[in-house]
Amino acid sequence: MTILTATGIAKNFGALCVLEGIDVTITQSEAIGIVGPNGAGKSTLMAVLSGATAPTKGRVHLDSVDVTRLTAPQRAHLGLMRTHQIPKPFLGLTVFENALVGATHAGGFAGDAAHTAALAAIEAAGMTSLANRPADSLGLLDRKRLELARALASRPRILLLDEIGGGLTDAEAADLVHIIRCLHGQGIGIVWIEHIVHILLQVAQRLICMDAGRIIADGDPRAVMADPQVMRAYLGAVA
Amino acid sequence: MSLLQVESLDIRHGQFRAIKGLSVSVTQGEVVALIGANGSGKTTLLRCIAGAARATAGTVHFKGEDITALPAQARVARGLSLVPEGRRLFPDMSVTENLMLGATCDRPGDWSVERVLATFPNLVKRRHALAGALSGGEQQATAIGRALMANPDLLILDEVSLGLSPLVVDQVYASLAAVLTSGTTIILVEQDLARAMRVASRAICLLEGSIALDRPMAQAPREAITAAYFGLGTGVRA
Repeated sequence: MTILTATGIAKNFGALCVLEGIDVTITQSEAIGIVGPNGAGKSTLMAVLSGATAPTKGRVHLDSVDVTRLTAPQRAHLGLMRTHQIPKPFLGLTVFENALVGATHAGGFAGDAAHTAALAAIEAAGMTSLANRPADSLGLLDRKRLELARALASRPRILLLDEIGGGLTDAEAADLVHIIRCLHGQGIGIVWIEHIVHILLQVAQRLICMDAGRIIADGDPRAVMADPQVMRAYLGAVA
Repeated sequence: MSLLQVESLDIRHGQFRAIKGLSVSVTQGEVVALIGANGSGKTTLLRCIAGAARATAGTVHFKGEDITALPAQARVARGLSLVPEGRRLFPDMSVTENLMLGATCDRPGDWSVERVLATFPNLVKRRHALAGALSGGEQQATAIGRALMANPDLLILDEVSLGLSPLVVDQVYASLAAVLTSGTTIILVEQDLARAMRVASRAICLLEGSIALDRPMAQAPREAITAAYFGLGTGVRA
């Protein structure tokens, strides 16, 4: 059972303290949602967990390995993958080729194994019929699916999703929820940052709310959403 | 008759559909609080009403006239002024010069530099200071004053409190009180729900580009607004 642990995380950009005193433990069996108002530090936490940025203070462990100084590609090899809030496909490549990049470069697969992993990822993301389409011809939902497929092709143990639900119609969002539930059912740990709370609550078994760089609530999703401190973070104090 | 009528409005940012077939009308004298989470489309909607963003489909009528294709300055000349998110003052011009720019559309009315200074007393000593050297609260006061100098029939205030300390927010609202009760029609975005509930006569909640709740404030308890804000509960989705 893979366990991702962040301990005493702080992140400063110059004088600006974006994360402070973050302690969080994530297991592979969980589907965790992260919410919080704008500027709470959600995406920065994701960047620290995935290795896109180094924390100013604190450690990140994957299983018992200290990965704090490892790069994002190195962490991907260990089974930790992320998707981006704004899809970043390789525009000149097809859907299949994009997934193949994930399988080979992040997953470490070669030859037939890489092709199999890429195809399985495309299928899991519901993109089989689009496999030979150039990525630059895809609409927003399919670009988001491709983010997912490329990450899945590396056969991750824990998947970090950054605002993958924004801008979708209700039907598209329902599709996405179904896909992510299936992935979780296959034993992939899910950490999903999303500001569209009602979509997130269909997947998350545990909810973390951040505000001003700190975790202010962590636990049962309905309890977190009913927490007065969470309400205050979003909508101000009750008069 | 409604002062502002938005009909089947669609606004896209590239592939992102920020406003989804939204219709709403605002009557003379209303103070509307526009409430919604980040990314729900508040600023996009307000910028489109003011002419700073283009509609992909749908129409905007102001005082019965179709203004959908009019540029922002033509809308200001018709009495529709926006105080944009982030204030957007001219930093190398003085407070007075920024205020005077608001009057260039030459609309008749009572607003003058003196009246703005009387309304926002924190600007009196700063009237010759460069806007770029002002504090956040002074900048917001100047931006609101600049919009008022056009003697608007509809004043739109985006993110009144953003980036201001609680004390300064109190000062801005204390100064705004006279405007809020003057009969000027106002649409404002305020993240502090308790404050929005105090100053507005009507609540509109946006959720992912659609209206999730639209009620007189007196019939919009905090629980209903919260449910609409997060898209939770039943019957709140538009």
